[in-house]
Amino acid sequence: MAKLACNEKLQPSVKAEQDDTLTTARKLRVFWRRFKKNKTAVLGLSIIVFLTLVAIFAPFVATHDPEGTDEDLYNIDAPPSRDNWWGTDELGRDVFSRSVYGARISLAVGLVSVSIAIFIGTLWGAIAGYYGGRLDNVMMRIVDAIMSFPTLLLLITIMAVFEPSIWNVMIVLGLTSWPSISRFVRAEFLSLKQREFAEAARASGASDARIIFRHILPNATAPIIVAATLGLANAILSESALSFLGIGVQPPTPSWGNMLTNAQDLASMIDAPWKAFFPGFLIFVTVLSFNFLGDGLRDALDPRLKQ
Amino acid sequence: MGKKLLKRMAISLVTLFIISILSFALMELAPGGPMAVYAENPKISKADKERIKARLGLDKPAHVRYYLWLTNILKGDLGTSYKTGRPVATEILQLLPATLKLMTVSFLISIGIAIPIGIYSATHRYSWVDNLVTFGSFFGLSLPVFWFGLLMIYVFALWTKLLPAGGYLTPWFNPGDYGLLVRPLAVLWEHLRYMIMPAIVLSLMNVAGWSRYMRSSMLDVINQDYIRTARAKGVPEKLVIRRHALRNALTPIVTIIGLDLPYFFGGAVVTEKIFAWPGMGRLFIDSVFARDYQVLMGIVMITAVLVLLGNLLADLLYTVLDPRVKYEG
Repeated sequence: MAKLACNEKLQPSVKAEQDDTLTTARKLRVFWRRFKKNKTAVLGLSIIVFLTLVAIFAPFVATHDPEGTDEDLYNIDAPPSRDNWWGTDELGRDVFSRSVYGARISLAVGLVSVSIAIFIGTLWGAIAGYYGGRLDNVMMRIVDAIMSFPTLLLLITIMAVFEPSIWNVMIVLGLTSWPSISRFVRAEFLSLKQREFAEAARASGASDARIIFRHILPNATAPIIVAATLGLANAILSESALSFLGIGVQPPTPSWGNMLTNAQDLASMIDAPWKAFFPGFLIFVTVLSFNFLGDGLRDALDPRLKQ
Repeated sequence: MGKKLLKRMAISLVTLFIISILSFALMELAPGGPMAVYAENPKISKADKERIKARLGLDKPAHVRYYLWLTNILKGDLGTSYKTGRPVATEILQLLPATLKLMTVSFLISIGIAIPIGIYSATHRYSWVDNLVTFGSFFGLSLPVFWFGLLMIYVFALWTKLLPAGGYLTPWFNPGDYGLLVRPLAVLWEHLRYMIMPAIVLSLMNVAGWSRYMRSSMLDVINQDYIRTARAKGVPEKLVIRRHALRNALTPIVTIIGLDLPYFFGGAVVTEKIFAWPGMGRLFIDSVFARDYQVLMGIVMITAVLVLLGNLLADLLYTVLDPRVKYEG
């Protein structure tokens, strides 16, 4: 594309047009006022902040070494007590301390895999939506093909082929969950590219890359943030399912999913139900919080989508 | 009808082809491969290993094996299980009915609960029932399938002892033990009691998701002009909902259900594992740990075919429900 001489001079005015109505600070205030009306979303956010703090300060919160077996051999599968708040598991490890460290795993896997998915999904959706036509058609058919495939089966196969480890879980979850994000981004780009500010940028000779990343993308952040939050919920759920099946995060590293692996046989469920209850409950509460938060963010960021 | 449908089928075939290449490439990348099973065994000499390799066809280059595998698949031969030495197709076909039985029952439960709930929520918007349903669907979507399964086992199998913890049928169950009159009931209950928990666990996510879609789809329709017209003409409210709104609200749901099929199959794998249900999903997990790649590939392909068939069916149903959508051009 031929560059106009006055390109650089035109840019500021184009940018000014984007946010002349609201400054960032005011936008945030408006957002917060809408967001805090949603009680469940605020509750979700509070729980997530709390869990994040627990994960960061895990060494100070945990009462025992999460991977340390008890010297006292009689203290296995012990019920909750003053010393072991949530009981102990079949190797005498403290369930509470393992759950605290498990929060690190769940949140880390969620964050990294969603970051990968957002990166690929945004790029893919932006290119498909911006250029449209044949390219868009081919790219979206590929997305359809991936989405029409049982992801869990694909995940299990990949994890079975490669060594199951926390890094592989992150990468594989990221590589399989981007298609839905790319759909949101594409839809947003399809409509935004026809708006005046995009036209203006194009008329002033901005390159395609500049229009995509500097002009359209900043206006498409709302659906991406919502998709990321809901994606975190799904990533945490998938990680726990993989770890539960024994092909995710490997013991002795504690993850909420793999803590349930040894708790599922009937003898354990009769003798030590706390092993199954607490980690599962934490998965449930965390995923629920992210879903509440995502729902609240959608309502507050994009009132058009409210049902 | 014809042209668009053909196009859809062509796309499905291309999708299948891509999936087959992808899963074959995955198996090729596997460190150790199927021979890893014998690597540690001191009783198997190097010559033995070569012989096993040749018999399994593993000495040929990858693209030749892919070609052979694909042509065999088209003939209905999915290869031989590395573990049991039996044809993969036989192994899968043996277990597929149990999986389809579980999925069909769960599908009927999901539809039977989700659709009425969605309609009620939409027609009684912001009532306490509606709020409860909205809240409940969040719970349903956030509950880990395996944990929900374990809770069910704890409550119904271990605590109240109402239902068996897992399995398919009692091995020593004999219909002859029952009198002629109660025999059909006894047989039915025998099948049902093993089915109830896995079917409910598998339905949970569908009910939570589909009732939400049904609610919003119904709300969209209710605000349309033709509904107002029907009401203005004095059509009773029940008839407005049943005759005018329901049919139009159902069409988007059909598509959503088609799109959800992959998750449904994924859920079935986990559910079968928890309840020791002798289906394809459990074979899949067992094959993962046995590194039985032929069986894995077979199940991946069969699942892909079933999902694509389901999507085609949803498309066809869509045209039945909404005659304006014609499969042309």
